Amino acid sequence: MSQNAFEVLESGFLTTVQDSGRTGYRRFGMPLSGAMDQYALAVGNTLLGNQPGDAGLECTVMGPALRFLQPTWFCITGAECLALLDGDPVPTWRACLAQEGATLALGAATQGTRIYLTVKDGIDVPPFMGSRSTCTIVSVGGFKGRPLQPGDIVPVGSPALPPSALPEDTVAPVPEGWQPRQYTGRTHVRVVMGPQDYFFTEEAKATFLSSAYTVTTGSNRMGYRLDGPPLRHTKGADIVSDGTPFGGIQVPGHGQPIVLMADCQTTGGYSKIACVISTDLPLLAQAKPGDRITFSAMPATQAHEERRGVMGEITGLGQALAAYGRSRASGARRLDVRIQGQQYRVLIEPL
Amino acid sequence: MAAVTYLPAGDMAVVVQFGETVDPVTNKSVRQFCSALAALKLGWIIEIIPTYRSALIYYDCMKVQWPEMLKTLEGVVSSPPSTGPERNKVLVIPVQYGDDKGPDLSFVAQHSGLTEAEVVKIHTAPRYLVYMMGFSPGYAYMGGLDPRLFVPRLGTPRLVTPGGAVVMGGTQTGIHPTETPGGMRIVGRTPLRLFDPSKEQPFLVEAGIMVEFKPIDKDEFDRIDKAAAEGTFEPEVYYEPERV
Repeated sequence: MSQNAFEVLESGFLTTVQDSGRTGYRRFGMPLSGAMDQYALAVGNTLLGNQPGDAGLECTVMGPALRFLQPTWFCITGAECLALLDGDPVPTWRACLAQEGATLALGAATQGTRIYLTVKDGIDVPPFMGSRSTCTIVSVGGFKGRPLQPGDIVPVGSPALPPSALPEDTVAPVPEGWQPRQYTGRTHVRVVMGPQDYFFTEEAKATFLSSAYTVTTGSNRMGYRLDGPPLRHTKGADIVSDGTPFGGIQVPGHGQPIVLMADCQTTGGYSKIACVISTDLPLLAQAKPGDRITFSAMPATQAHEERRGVMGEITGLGQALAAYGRSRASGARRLDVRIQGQQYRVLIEPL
Repeated sequence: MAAVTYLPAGDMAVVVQFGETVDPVTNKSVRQFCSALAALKLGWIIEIIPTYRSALIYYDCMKVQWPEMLKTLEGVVSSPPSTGPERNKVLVIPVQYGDDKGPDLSFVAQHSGLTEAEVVKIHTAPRYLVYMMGFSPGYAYMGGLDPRLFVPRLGTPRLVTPGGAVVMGGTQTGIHPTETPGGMRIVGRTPLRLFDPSKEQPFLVEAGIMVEFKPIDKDEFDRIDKAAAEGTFEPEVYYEPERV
């Protein structure tokens, strides 16, 4: 029987349902959760005409194998990997169609750590406290509060359509020339100093911004433990516990920084020398143990401009795809023509 | 009161800091600020997290510019708090002390030079202020533990501290909402669910309320536990005139 879902054949290393995160309950100690790499999730969703924060799969290190129980548009973003649809390689960072019964096998991440699989209309597990994200710390949200296992039937939000009603152009191709932001494998991360940079010596702040820190194996969705030149405090490492954001870089007494990630606790008692800017968190999300990270500082207002830029690119991509969809629906066609050596794009609309 | 400071925490949050100390007056300033800010229902505010002596404000920079945000926050800080007598909500938490529910009660008694009954009497005497929530979903950081009950934490943390465990260690006392590893001494257990994901409002405790412990026996524990499991138990709540 066909249904709006896919079946998990192999689970991969750690595959969880994640969305834009669970906001509204951090004051009760509920972690944010959500995709570690929000850029990959947002682009994967946008390329399918979804909302940027819709739920998809976050596949860590080694991707899962799935069988689609109905024809499904999907998109693979994030870490690079070999993806095979019924044995044939499929492109990443663009919408692809799987027929009913097709098997999609995602291989190991060859560059980066986290592969994202989005599907048209999103993964449709029941929302929990306003989010479909899996919080593995307390085993709630997502698919039964846990990583996917073989045999799981994961619901997809799209209404059932007979295969003949799935024209190729219901999902638009990416605009010509569009490229995803180049970020996997990059290791330079920008931060806003503070909120407790005044707990550190001037030397420590200079060391932090001029040294390379290695991602250690003790790194996961809660935090990335880094190893490098120790950072010394002027008056001890401990603060009166306060709020801890995704991206906060706390430094316990041993002097080694820990970057708090999506599943981090909502409060903490270690001084935070700096916070990673939101648009560079995807870089860290894709870093793996052994990678060396360097930091540079910028004011919060400049980080806001960075965020507006990246969010604007994603919105623009969505608008371009929507416009394309509208023009196709109206019977309009875009043609690329060359006249006297010059390329032109021509829009032809029926009268 | 010390000058309020505004510290960036990346590009999506800002710390509004009212001091560096843990005390009820500073904490009250934080909570009054949070309430007044929340009441403005500003579209750019994502979340407001009150903590001991500061608030972490999550905001959306797609909807607000830094100068405008700072001006708004400063305005709320400098506006006088709403007047009128406030009455603190007191949540009564039933606890079965000792026996299999509180394996460390005898240690606490021994370490403090008290009888187990005296430990229970001292622990149930005060109303504890919930300064903030954090550590794990539904965990309350409470203040007001009697110094006679300050005991060292476990040398080796337990792999499992059960949900509902009432614990003490150092200057702290608390309740574990869910099963977690823990280094605190377990003196009893409450049958109440401090984090119940099946409920519309999953959390029993929030920052700013007071908590009081009430000793119960095993029969009472079992009765409340059954009702709490069925979602039919209504915890006892009363209001006291404010002291700070």
